[in-house]
Amino acid sequence: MMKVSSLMASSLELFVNNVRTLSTQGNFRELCDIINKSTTTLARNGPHLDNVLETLDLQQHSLGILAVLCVKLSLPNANGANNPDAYKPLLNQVQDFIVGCNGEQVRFAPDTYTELCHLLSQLLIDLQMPLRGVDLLRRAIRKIQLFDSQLTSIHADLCQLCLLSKCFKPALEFLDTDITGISQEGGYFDAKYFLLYYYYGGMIYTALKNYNRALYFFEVCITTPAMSVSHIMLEAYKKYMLVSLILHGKIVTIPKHASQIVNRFIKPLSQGYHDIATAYSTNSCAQVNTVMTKHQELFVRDHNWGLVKQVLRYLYKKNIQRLTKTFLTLSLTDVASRAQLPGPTEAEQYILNMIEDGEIFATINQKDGMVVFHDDPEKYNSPEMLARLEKEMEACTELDKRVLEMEEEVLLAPQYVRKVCCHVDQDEPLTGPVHTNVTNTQGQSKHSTYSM
Amino acid sequence: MKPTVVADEMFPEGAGPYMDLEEAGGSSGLLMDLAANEKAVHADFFNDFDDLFDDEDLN
Repeated sequence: MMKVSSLMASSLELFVNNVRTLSTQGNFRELCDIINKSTTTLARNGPHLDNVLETLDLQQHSLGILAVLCVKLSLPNANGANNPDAYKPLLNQVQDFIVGCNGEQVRFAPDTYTELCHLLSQLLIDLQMPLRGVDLLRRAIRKIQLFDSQLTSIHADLCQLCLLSKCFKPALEFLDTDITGISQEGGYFDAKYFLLYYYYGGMIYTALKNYNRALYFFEVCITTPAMSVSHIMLEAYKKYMLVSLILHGKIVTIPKHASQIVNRFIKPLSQGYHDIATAYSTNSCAQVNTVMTKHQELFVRDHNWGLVKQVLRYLYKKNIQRLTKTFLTLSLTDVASRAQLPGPTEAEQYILNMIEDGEIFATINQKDGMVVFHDDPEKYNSPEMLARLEKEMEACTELDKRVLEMEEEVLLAPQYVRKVCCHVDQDEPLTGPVHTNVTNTQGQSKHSTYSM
Repeated sequence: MKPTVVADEMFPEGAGPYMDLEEAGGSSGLLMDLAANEKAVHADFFNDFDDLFDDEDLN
């Protein structure tokens, strides 16, 4: 027994010595290799890991601490109990690490760093305390990102915790920034996290009723190149349809660059949702209601029942909006009957909400129950409108610039150049004439000249 | 039922279900079909949220 315990102690000592020596030397690449090989040793020495942590400095030995914490998070809790108190010391250690670690050092092991965040998220979900991780993951992302618009796999965790804690706003500082690059994370970035980020992000925007942005997020998710049916894409497609109906009153055509998987497999798997869209296209609330009742179990199971109910509400609104194009005044009873609402009280409620949200312009005369519809008072001649226009144009110019930059990056990428060259090589015969196109200066048609 | 192209008199019944020549994508489409038929991915992804879009909850 003595021998075994001394062996264990010496292997841990060796780990600590390696971390200290190689960190001092700044030899982080070799340290990462050694750390990767030490996982089993660390896992076997679970009870002694806190002693290891005591010998390491947060700033100087960040990589070593990262490895130890990762192992600690993946081991079952020594106190056995699956309650928050038992995990309090470990959660504090992880928090101190994320806040105080050396960002440049942990960038040598981005895969371990992100793994730590995934394990932390999972633990907080299991402990039913997702809110505890929201600010921490926000800091974790900022620490590892090379630039603000870089996507990491931690983004998906943050969104998941925000959704579970119903605290959406902290995710917005990331979601509102369009992604222009993806962290490689040592080659371990799984496409799953890309899909999850856009799916969860779309859900957050949907919950905040920013349907425009939500639709864009679901669109990115369903147009990701794919060879197999991803359940994340399938769920994103269902929400894409519902948000599309709310926003545009129809299902917006899916971009051509979407994978054939969407048309061949994902569409047929979402029949209930297509039925809603078909009923919606008739503008009949009764028909939408019938389809809702028919597929209620499906929608509830998919956690989309609330969104489906919103689709119906938007159809009522759309029908009221259509009335404003035909009538100048109408009684609340007439509004109710034409928009297929149960009665004038409901019609009044809908109209009041729509006026409040700026969806229609109208006044209600309480005395005689008449609604007077007005034109849009916006004349597009205010300084505010000009400022808004300038802001939008600036954003477009910025986007155009960015697209050109990215195109240039692609054109200059060695992989792309190699592929284009290969194609040219394959197309050209191995032996034979080399041809050059020459254009006649007098505007005559092109001639091909050949030289041997 | 779209008419199938009979390319070989040995197979007068046509080219069979996997040779739908009018389908865009050609052989790559077929490969995709096979790959997709064999597996679906991310079946275990976390999607067990409460219904976050039910406005009636707010009332």
